[in-house]
Amino acid sequence: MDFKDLDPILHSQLRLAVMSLLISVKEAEFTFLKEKTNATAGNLSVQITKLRDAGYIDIIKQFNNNYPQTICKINSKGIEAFENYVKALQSYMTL
Amino acid sequence: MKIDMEEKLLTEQESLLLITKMIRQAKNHYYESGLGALLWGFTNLICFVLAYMDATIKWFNMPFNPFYLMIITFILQLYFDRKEKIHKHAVTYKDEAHQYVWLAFGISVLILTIIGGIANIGYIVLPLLLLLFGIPTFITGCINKFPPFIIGGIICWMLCVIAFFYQGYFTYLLVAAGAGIAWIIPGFILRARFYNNLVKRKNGF
Repeated sequence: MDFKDLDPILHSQLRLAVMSLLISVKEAEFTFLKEKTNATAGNLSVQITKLRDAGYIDIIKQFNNNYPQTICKINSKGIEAFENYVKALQSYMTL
Repeated sequence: MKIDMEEKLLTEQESLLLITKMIRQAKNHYYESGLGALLWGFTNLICFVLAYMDATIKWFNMPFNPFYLMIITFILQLYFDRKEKIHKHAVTYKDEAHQYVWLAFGISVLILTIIGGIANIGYIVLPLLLLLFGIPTFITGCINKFPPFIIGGIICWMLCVIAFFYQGYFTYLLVAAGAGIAWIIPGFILRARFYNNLVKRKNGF
């Protein structure tokens, strides 16, 4: 039986929720992630920074019509990590 | 109430449930105000009815080509797109597919009308226009599982068949009807849904 360790970066409720949302869209604003996860802005900000530091997502900060905008996008390393995480979960479930 | 998710340890089952829930939420995210459909639907309806009147009614003389109105609509569309982008918050793969489908449609219509006009291919432009109207409308309806667009696309193709057999001024009215059925009716339905969703969000549903 192939038994894999779960990625500690992804095995956290909010970070996993953010990655699941980002894998389903091309890109999402901070407000979208906040609304869908129902997390606080401070906590979400800390968690997306952790995901960025792990190299799983890219964060673009810009201004749109004079409003600050934070756009998050999953990258190829993030997609690979997410797929490996799901495979690891499946191997646990079949035990 | 805000939920602090960070410290909660997940079981494997909970992880899978969370992934499924979030993917479903992202998939269900659909921002469509219906404004584009209404804008282009009414513009086409007005342009083709004016073109028909200009061609058939003796006392009715347009001081300019009615199709020049499309330039104003194009500018309005750019303005509304810019305005709506602020409220979109996420770009889905569906949104991207829509953009490419409608871009391809726009380029096809430009080639058909401008080059067709230069080559002087006559009334055959109009049935071909209806054929083109049907393609992005039908695809948009299928991608979003939105029957009014699917029906609108099919009706455009049916009108196209009629237009191929009837080559005359009446074809202008067929194109106007196509625009009305394919875009104006679905546009109003989308607009009503959009306002309903706004009310629901304001009331916290």
